[in-house]
Amino acid sequence: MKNHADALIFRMAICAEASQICLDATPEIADATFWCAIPSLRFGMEKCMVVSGDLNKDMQSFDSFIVGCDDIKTMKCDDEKGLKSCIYYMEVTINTTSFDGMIVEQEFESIEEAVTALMAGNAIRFIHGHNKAQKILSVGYPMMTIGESRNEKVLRGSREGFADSVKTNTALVRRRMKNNSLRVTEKILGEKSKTMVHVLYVDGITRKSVLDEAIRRLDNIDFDGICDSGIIEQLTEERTSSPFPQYQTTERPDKAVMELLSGRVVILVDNTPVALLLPTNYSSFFKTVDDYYNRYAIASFARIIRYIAAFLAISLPAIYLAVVNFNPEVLPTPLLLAFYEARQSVPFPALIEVLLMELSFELLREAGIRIPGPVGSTISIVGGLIIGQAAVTAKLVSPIIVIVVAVTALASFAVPNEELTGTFRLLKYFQILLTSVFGLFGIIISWLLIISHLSRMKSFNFPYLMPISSDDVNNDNDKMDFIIRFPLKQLKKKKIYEKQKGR
Amino acid sequence: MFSKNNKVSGRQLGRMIFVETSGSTAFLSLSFIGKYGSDGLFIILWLYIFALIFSMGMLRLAKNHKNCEQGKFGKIIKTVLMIVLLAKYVCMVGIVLYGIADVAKLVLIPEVSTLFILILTFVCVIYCIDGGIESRGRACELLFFVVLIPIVIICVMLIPKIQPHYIVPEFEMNLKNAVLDFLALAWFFVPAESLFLIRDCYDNNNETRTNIYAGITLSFLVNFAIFAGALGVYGGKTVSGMDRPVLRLMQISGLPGGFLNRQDGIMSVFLIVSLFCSAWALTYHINELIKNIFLQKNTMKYAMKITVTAMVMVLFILYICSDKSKEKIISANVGGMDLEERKFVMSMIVSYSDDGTEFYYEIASSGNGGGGESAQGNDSSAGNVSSEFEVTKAKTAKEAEEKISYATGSKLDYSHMKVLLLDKELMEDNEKLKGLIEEISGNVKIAENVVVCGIELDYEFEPSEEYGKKTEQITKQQFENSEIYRFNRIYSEEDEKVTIPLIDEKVKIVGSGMVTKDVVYWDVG
Repeated sequence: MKNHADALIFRMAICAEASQICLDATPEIADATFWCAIPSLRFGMEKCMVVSGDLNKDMQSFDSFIVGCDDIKTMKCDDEKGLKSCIYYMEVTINTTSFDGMIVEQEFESIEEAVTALMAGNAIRFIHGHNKAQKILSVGYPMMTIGESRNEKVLRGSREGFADSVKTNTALVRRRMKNNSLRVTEKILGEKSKTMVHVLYVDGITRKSVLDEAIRRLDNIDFDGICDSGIIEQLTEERTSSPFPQYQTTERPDKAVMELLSGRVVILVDNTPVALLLPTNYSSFFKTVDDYYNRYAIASFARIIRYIAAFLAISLPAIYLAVVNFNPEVLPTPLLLAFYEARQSVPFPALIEVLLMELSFELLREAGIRIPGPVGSTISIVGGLIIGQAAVTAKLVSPIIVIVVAVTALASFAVPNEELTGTFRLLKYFQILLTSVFGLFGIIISWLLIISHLSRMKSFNFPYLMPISSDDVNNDNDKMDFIIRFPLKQLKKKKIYEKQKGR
Repeated sequence: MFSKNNKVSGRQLGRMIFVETSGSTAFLSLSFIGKYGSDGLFIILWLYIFALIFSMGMLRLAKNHKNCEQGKFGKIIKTVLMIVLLAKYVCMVGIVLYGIADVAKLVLIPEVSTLFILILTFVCVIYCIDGGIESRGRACELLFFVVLIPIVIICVMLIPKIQPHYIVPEFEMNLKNAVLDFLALAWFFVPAESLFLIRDCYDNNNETRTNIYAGITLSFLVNFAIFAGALGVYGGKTVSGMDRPVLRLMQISGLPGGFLNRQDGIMSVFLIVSLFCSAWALTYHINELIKNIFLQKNTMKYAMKITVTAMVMVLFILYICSDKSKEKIISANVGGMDLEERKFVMSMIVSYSDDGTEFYYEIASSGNGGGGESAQGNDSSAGNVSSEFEVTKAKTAKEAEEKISYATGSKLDYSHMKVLLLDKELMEDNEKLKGLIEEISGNVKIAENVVVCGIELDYEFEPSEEYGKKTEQITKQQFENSEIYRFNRIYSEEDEKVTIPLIDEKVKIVGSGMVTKDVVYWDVG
């Protein structure tokens, strides 16, 4: 296959061929031919190789696919009846001591399908005189067990988080929604990685247009390795130039279920515990799952705090700079004099001081992520105490700026979404630079630009600013679940993403 | 799926009209306060009625004569109307953008050149209009609440200060000028969305109509509240001398130095946001008009190019015609001015003598600074910050400021000045006094409600450690019949006290002004 266009033509040809056979032949033959065609497509071969029943020939064919794969082992067996067989397996994925009691899970007619099954972590057995390859039930690849979600902690609610296996994750969702209206569409993405992706939705609730668009975008992915859901996110987002995240993510099965019930689509990707939720909007990043588990007053208060935190995370250093350097009259006199006193011994201008401290914090943050766990806490202490305290004592920075940077950092962590926090960090520097030239006017202009940018963004045709601009979508129903979360009894109206008719 | 291009809901349209008109009219119509005093109330009321009637007419036209533009005559009328609107919007957007630059320079960034601010604002407007009507509808929906809240705060803060008897109409209007001004204001007040109404890009139903009228009414109420607030606080005669009553209004919420006082910087944010929304709306409609009138292909790309070119020319002409053209074409003040480079003046004494006027400055100091003819003062201020005194002789306040700045190596900052003491001899010389007050009031950094006291200085007066340490409280009754000069001109019925710094018997108070708070800063020490 020379290029992707050839691949596409070839695929269409095979499908057409398979369909033609389907029309002419019996369903069994047609089915077998079609399934035979797909693996050959995956491996870029023009003909599929059929299991002949001749062990040597089949092994030769099979070996041609796994040349150089030293991790794949072969075991030849002769039983008492003289039946010759050969088992291909990967050491880690199969328990060799249990070969005696092996269970045949599935049989394949083509070599390519057998190779695919082997790559998925199964053992494959060829038997002389039997024209099908057998897939032996195996333990599969080693993976992390189900544990607590690390990045989405809640005070109230389930402690369970997604694991790395897509099938485990789907099961975790299914366990919370024992209903056949939960549908799962399986896809294999990644030219080389062959990553399994599950698209979950609830039939009768999810809008068909959203689902179709999600499937279409997944089908359009043309990429070698899908190692994480983040890659799918970037390959399918609408505006690559925007700093704002266009998918929401979660590591919690209970949250995934709640979002499914509100009409959203969940994409689970193998080898990652991070699920994608779509469509999304700005306000959804400020909601946590325990907002719905706690009483409405507490949940509403927490949300208000988060919105204030978001504002502070973006604008606090810029406001400090604008007030101190351009408009000191807005400060109360005692506070101004305190600032004045604190700044006296600092050798750098306020702009450099702010940038210095903010960049130091970024360094600490990056170091904290990369450094191994036991050392991480030490680094926090070293960073917090030594850099902060020592810098003030050495009169490199004023104590005020340490407070500003600390509050900004705290505010950014109060927003319950890491992707959005990253965006805030970028916008913070954008505002600092604008403010350094234009003072408060720079903050105004940058906020107007941010609002304008957000107002033009869409996620799967839903305005990104929803529910602020949802009156033409669902008569403002979702405003009851916005900054203020109304009591659950009053949230009975259909959610914004829900199919509005015929549920 | 939901949002169709060039279509917004009736509610969004109402909010857009509110945000747009509250910006352009709050800025422009309030300038009429200075011209007409309380009679301006009727101008705003008439404008409201005019805008309502105009909108009703447009809506009726859109509803009953949907196909009127299909005939040859209809097409000509439509084109003429569009060209008139285009001319209007081009003028308006230039003035609004210039208004933004003016407010920003006056209150926020005086060192940055007007052209630089204009360029930045214009680039942002162009970025914003690229999002189309839908994007503007959503943004205005958000800004509706963001803009509304500061307005409510302003109104609430002003309520206790409003003197109702100031709002009684005087009926001394020059009819010819009033009519001309009314027409000029009407030109601005009619929402840019009127084009939108004609083009019938919305659902012309009862709900939409209600929302449009609600938007115009809200805008009227906002204008009325700000107008009444300014008038009620300052009084018609006082306001008539002000060039920018809105910004002046923002300075009077309290004496500088208290929490949430002296918020003209913050409140100007509201004004700039509103004006920006007006500029956004107008530029958007200019773009639409150019597409419809001149371009057969009706493409956004070409319309945008023509719009940008036209607007750049208008801004350039405006810039050339203004006196701001004397400043440097592009100048900025990267990083602003650090606190340590400023000297904060807390109080000021101006004393008249034959060989020149003496200016005494009480300056907040950390104890490290100082210079010139300074005398170290006491720890009367917060923390370790003490006060120091600078004295110089000069003909004008500006000259004195320059001398002090040169001597100390720092710039004098009046933003926290609370008290201005004037020598009795100076107060008796009307010409000198007028010149001084004009000079001082021209400095926007000086708060409107600085306490101004008339004093009698001993000719041997020299500020010493005692200055500011001993204070005296005076009440309204004490100076009711005395010779008072009130720089702030705030009148209050309440029996409020003022605390001013005294230097024993060397300074004798012969009169004083008033503040809206009980005491001034020196009480803290």
